[in-house]
Amino acid sequence: MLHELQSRVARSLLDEFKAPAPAGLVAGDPARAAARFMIHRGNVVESLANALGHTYPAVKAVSGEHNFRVLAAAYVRARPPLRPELMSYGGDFPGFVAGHTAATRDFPFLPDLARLEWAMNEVYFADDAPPLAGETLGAVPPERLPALRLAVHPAARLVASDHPIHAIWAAATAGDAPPDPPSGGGAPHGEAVLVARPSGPVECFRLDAGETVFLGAVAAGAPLEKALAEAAAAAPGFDLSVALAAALSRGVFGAEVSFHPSPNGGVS
Amino acid sequence: MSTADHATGPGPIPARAGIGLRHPHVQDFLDAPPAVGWSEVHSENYLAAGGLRLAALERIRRDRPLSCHGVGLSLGSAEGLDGAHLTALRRLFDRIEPGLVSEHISWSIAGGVYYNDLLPLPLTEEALALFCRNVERAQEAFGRRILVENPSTYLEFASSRIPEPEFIAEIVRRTGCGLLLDVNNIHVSAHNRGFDPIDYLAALPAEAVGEIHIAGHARRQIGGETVLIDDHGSRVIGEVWALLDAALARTGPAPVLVEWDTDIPELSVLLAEAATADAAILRAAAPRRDPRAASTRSPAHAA
Repeated sequence: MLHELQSRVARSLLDEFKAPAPAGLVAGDPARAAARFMIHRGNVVESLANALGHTYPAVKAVSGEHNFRVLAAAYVRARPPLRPELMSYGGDFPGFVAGHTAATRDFPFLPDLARLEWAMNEVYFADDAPPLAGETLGAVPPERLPALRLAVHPAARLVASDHPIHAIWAAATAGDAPPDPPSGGGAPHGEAVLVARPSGPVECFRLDAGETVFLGAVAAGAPLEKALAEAAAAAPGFDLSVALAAALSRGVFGAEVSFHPSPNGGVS
Repeated sequence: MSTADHATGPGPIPARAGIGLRHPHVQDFLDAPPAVGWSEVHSENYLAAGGLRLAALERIRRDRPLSCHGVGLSLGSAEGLDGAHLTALRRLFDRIEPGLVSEHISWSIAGGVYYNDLLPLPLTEEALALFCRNVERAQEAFGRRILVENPSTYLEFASSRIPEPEFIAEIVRRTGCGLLLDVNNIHVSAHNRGFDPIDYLAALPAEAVGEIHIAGHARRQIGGETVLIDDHGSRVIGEVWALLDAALARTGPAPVLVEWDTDIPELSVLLAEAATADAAILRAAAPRRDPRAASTRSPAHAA
């Protein structure tokens, strides 16, 4: 009985504010019960929309207060949280935004901006695992470097976009308007962002083309030799030692390294 | 119960005023531990694998006792408790070693969905038995006694049969858990549902009270009448300070927490509220010539 009652009340919480109250609740008369039940509907939708606003401040700044509230309330009703710790709520908000034409018509970059903010949220709460030490890398014999595989640290994410997403994020965070699209109607140049927390607070680093391809390949499990070849093909002049030094200082890699098996089945 | 003036490091929560620690004040706590006996956080906000938020809490709990107040366990859920959530909370408690662990007499989860609100229970034998089973499971999972908080409510269920204070007393009796007595919740519910707050207070088991909450609430016009909303967004009003005195007259000196969750002000405002609460605790500790005066007097500077 309690089970049935809670299911009924729960379903009704996500209805529109003015919908009738579920049966079985009393507060003197039915109109009063309906008015009082709206307090709970408001608590649920508003508190969860507020939580999304904290996780997605740049999306909120770009959309505007009102439009964000509408978008967030629609998301809350369509995809309420399945976990009681709200730091994990909103992981599929970027996909939801992408399907919302009213939001993407004016700001086609909005789903990517949301992806960047979700990456920031994940990095903020990620495990304090030790990062790769320079000494570990230095101790790898030169002949084994080509087969070296680096693991991505739990508190590092790569977000690539067809839009200048780092500039858009920086402008929204500073309270400025999004940067103008290129004049002449050409496609905007894309940007890739590394999200990490080398000294505690979460930081967003804009990557150049070579770094983007290199870190993307490493994250996909490629050994150093393959990642280097891909990066050099994408960006002539790519400098491996510069890219590695930058990544090390930003805590991109986990402490443990491994080696790609050699073609003859052993470990090179 | 400890009456130490200076609690150092993690440990039992003293019979002094504490404040609810929210994100805007974390840096204040890290810069210079403020003059307050203890603090309390919402457990669910710290269920992170790592990062600065958890690191800050570990620093803060080194300076003074910390209490973990849960908002997501949903002890009133008919579908039972979430094992993964119990495990995550246990991990946090092992790491932080809170002086108290508490939750609410309400529910927030149905069909696996978390509604982020404290919803009322029908006060029936079925709900009482279910709630007690869940409290027992939580106490077992945490390896410790928990406190459960009396709810603030706007509505009742037609099926309710047990008076609320009796329902609460029975939870305490059957499970051995303690009571987190929220006097603002009593004031809010008494207004909204039309009962006498002093009668309600008198029917609760005073000896089980391990902590008291005070907070502000909002007055809103809803459906042509004034409804009190438990929003923790303003100063504690005079009637709630008087109810705190009445509660402390029954329990004796106890830890009192100032909660503030919406429109969070400067830390100094919370510290001023805590100082008022400390004065109330001191009055409760002083020998009383006339018990009636002690139970009705409210602080001179209360709003």
